[in-house]
Amino acid sequence: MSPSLDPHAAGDPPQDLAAEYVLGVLSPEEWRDADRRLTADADFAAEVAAWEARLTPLIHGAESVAPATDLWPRIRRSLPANDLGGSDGNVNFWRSLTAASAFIAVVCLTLAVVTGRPSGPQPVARAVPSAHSATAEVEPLQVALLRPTHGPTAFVATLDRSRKLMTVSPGAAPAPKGRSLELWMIPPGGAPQPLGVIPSDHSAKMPMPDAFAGRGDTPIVLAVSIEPKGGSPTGLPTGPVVATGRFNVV
Amino acid sequence: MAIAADLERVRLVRALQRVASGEAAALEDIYRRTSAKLFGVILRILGDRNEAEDVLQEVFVTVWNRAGSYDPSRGVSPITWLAAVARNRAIDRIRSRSTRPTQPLEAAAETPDGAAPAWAMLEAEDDARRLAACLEALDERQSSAIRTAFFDGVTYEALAVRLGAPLGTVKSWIRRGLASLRTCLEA
Repeated sequence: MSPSLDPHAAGDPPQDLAAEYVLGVLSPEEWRDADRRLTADADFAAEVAAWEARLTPLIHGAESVAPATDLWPRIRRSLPANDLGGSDGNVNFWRSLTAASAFIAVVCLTLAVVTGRPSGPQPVARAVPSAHSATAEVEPLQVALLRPTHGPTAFVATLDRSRKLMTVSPGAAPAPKGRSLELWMIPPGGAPQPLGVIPSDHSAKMPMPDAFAGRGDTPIVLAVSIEPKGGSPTGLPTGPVVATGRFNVV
Repeated sequence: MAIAADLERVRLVRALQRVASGEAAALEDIYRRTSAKLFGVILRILGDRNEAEDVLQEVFVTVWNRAGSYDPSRGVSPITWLAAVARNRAIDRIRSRSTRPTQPLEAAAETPDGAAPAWAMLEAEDDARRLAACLEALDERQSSAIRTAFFDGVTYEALAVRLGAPLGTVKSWIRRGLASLRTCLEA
């Protein structure tokens, strides 16, 4: 709560953490601490909102850059509770599969190590994309973008803690003929646990796994693998992993 | 110009309200109107198109889920609200990766101090004009440090390296600048 004074800055105004958080100059640790504090400290959250209102109009001076033209269809398909799986979906599935295939081998290798040594934490960590989970606020909706190591988002998972519901929606998802997509959760240092086969052309709702019940950071990785029709016969992934991701508070 | 900006604001507020009631077409309308601006902001911070598109996707999924929490009566314009979400997601992304793969040098070269090109201000809203005037009133090093930090999403440490100034000095510029800015904007 008390403003920390920088030794170099004697005579300067005291640190305004909310302003520095909004400006983005804090170190990753300080930024994350401040991000957590937002949910627990209403006064701080109000200060941050005030600074956002003060500083964000600067974006009027930012240059506009058009995103890729296929981004909107991707977003639209990934919206939770959206049944627009649509006819152009399959084209994107296969386009995405091409992009993903270059990385499948790498992910596959990683997974082979994971399944071979269920207690090894490192390979799991490496399979995680850069998204990190922030702290939970009161019943936040959490979103996980599941994607190949490089390439567009293949699935979007949302976690609705208040209704204890998880929704997985295919974005640009590969759906090879005669095979099934299976969803897994991989706890840090643990073996993948099956969450069931998921459709590639529409959203799937399922009960929220108990492992996600805790508040705060969710280190659990979600992964989708390609399996024989009906799902993995062994209880562990047998095919290539096409996407991984973690929950993020939105 | 002011009328055009007001009209745009009203359109966006209405679209956000329609999104809050579950209309995907309204979200598409918001996307058409704002995605290039938001993408520009995100790309400048991340310096990588694929990553920036992922973040923009996160932003619109967030807007889809949270449009109801936008409250126009608080006096925050809808584009400000959207851009705050976008910057927050971009900074979150960049702070969670250990090293920055590429510096957005091309973007930095276009506007070295992040200064707004004059034409952009023509369509800016009132709050943007007031902010620009208050930034003008600051010591030039202070306003330039604030602009660079804002547009590039860099930490104090990275900013010190970029500006070739000691860390304590850069912190001092930013803190004094922010305090003066607040006073000016509240005047």
